[in-house]
Amino acid sequence: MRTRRGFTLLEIMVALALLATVFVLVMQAQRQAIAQAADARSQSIAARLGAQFLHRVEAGMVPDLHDGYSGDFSEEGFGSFTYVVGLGDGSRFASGPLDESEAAWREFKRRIEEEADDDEVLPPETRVFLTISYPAFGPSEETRTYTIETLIDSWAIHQDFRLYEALWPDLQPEAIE
Amino acid sequence: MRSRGFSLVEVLVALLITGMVLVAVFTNLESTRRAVDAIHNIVETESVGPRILDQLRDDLDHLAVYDADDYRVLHGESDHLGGADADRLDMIVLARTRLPFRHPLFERQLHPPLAEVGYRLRENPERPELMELHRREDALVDDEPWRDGSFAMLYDRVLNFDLRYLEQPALDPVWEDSWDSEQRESLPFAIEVLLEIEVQPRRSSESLAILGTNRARLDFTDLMVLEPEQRWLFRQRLHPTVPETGGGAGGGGGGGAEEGPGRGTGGAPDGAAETVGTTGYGGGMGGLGPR
Repeated sequence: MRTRRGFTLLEIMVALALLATVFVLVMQAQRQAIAQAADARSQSIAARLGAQFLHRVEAGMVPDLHDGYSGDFSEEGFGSFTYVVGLGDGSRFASGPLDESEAAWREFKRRIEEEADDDEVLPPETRVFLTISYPAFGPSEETRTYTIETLIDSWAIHQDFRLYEALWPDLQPEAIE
Repeated sequence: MRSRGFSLVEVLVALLITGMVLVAVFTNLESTRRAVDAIHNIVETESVGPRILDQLRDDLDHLAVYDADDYRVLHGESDHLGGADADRLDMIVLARTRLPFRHPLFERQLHPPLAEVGYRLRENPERPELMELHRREDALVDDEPWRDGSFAMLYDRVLNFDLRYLEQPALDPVWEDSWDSEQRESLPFAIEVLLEIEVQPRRSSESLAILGTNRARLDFTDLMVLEPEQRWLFRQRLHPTVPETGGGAGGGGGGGAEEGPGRGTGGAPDGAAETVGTTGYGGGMGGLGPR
């Protein structure tokens, strides 16, 4: 006499639930991989666009640059990427300070900049903060930021081409016979 | 014990279960494949163009400006290929070549620290509407620095490669299509590069949601500002040029002394020939001229 007995309903439900969990996990992993790759791509686009923008600033090709200058990269085909430029060591448009001592240093610089006269001689180089904001991948409204901090010649920032010529007088062929 | 086969119902149930599992597995595989396509698009649209521009920037950073022969360092020419911009750019750079160079005297494979480098385009043999971008590299510098060498393909689907040169920064910049440092005796202030390429995105619904990953044509523009120090060094003759023998050269030397007093050694009193050293500009050995 053999006893033949099938699976109970409960056993089948558990098996199905396990199977479903595994598939959901796999799908989620894929989704996450795509999201991560897309975010990484957005970040490298932000880095590239930022570098391109700073190369134009370096060449003195961005007119009316000031602390808080902003815009977007729609010309390059990335209208959802926006930027803000901070000029000067104590800029209010800089990225968040890394630590307390840096915050204190920026506060100190800001006070000096506020007290300074307008006619004062420009420093040879000016600190530039470029913050690029771009949307995160997915339906959420979240935005991410990418920050570049660099030093750029002051003549280029203020488009002072006479200062450039005074700094580098020997570069013109006609200057030398 | 009598063996008995499976009943029809049992076989049907087994088939049904197998079918369900197979469907689930293949759906999963399919969606994985699409995810791979989406990631392929993501990577391809942001890797090729910037990589080529970085390579060009790296070469420009290493221009062999130090005491260049006849100011021959950079040679950019405007050119066209089948209606598209296919500019040529050649330069002499201080960088180790990728390919070893067999030295004829030492009979050894070397990586010389000086090379001719060039960027050239040619028609893609399979698709004539596209171009191939090659980087030319020729170890050391020969009599024809803008020719020959070994070519390495950077990318095979280029639509446009346009270079513009800026002599001076200005509010209203004047761009030029070509630059010959031998003729101009100076380096440009900046070079603007426009690179238009075609990529092959794979159609996938996943990548629709990602900005611009389904685009097949991409363009990259970048401005390469040459270091002023580099351009300044290029203008300097570190070794004084020796005037040609004969009356004409002597007169030229004397002329240099009149035009540039206080600069180089031109205005120095007699005996300046011994101190000729660092700042002799072209033809600036005025001290050697007849007095």
